[in-house]
Amino acid sequence: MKRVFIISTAPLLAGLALAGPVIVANPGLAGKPAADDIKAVFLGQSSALPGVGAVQPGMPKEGKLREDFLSGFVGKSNQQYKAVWTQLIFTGKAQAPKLFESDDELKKWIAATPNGIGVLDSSKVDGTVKVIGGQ
Amino acid sequence: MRHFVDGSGFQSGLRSLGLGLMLVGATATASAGELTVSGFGTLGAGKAISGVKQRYFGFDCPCYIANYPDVGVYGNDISLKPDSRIGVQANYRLDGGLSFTGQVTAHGGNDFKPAVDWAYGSYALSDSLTLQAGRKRLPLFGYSDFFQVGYAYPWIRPPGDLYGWQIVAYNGANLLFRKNYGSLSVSANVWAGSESDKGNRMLDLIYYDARVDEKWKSIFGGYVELGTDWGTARFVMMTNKVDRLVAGTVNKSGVKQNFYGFTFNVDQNDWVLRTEINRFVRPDAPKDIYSVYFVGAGRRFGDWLPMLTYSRFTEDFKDDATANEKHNTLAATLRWDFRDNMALKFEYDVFKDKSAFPFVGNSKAVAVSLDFTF
Repeated sequence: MKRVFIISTAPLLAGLALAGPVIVANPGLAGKPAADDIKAVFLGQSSALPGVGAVQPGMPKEGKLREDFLSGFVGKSNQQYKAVWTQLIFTGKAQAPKLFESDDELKKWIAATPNGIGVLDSSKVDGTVKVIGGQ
Repeated sequence: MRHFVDGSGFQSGLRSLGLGLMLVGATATASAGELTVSGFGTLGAGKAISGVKQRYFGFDCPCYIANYPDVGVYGNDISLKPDSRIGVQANYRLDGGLSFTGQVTAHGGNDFKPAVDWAYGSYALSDSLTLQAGRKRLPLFGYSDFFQVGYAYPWIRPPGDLYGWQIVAYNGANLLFRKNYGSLSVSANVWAGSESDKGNRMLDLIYYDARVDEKWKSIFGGYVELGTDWGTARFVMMTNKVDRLVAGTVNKSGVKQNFYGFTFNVDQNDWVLRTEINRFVRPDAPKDIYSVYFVGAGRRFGDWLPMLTYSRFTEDFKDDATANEKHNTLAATLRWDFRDNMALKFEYDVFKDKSAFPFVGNSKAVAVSLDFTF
């Protein structure tokens, strides 16, 4: 599902600053991780990215951007995603992603967190963060 | 009493917490911690609508055992107790890979007496390896360690034919491994510990009608869970020894028991498959074997998930076939995710009791629940 999303939208968006979810990181984050590895972090299957080390994920608390990210990149509905995390949190297997009320808050947190990765609307990307996936 | 406020489990839970707090005190000066409080709950109501009319120990039947370990039993009257429960968890996380977690749950089947099934410290040895020590729920079968967390699964509660274990938590330590290899995720866990439960509710009220003190010692177990985009497979093995006193008299002393389990789940293109097969063996004479499984299938329609699940419990007690417990359940369930962090569920259960001895008898039950997280 995620590949379909990425391939089908990317050409349409070429040259246009259309909105859509991208994965961003602190500019200091080394390398460009594979989509599968980023997805594993957001699903709580891994707490680290290869070649990067431990990372902290962050995402919007609710809304269209969150749902587009989950259906397009993670391949789960919001309900499925919440059920997965409910199990992980209450069995102590993984630390839940940080949730943010707004794009700006999330961006500020990424810029201030050396190992932070997060979901941002592509139109909000600026020099304080680095795009590592989702486009 | 499994591990209530006056039970030994709670005390050992407190000891774990105390140790945790000392460690927090020792390291808190080095880094500011982060406290997260979250919780879950289920408000459920239901009743047995038909079945065998009889008295079974303390229960007026027709009756339906919705929950064995907490003794949540539906009878003739509508009741909120058999499925309602609430849990609150606090997690305190420090820099440097150290964290502490405690969880208090209360179940209507136990008149909402608080129980501490989780009170442990975690230390990240590496990005993928975590050492944990203290009190935890036993991650025995597929749903054992989040048995109380209704929001995380499709039914109101996991099938009773499989989830009828008298010991649900332990004190000890475990090593947890989690890592992904491309799109394949691997989660593995090995644990060791013990649990003593004076006055076990399930064994007393459902099986002996007498006070039972149950001890599971020398617990060693491990599981491996593999996950892909479309499903998960989980293998588990555990061994331990049992001491049991029934009404103060030795019933078992150091009896060995082995568990084997396999869970296979698919969630792809709106189709949902949930299966589990478990085997329990007491290998030494008198040899006893329990074989249990369930198969459930459903399909998502937007926010709705209707499902049919068949489960079965079969005992093969080698010395005395008249002591064999056998039953199966057909459950029709409907989950509706009607808003964020909340699900409404409906469940209809048809329970068939084929035990060789007079057990609870056939019954049909209906229940509705509201599951939530916060």
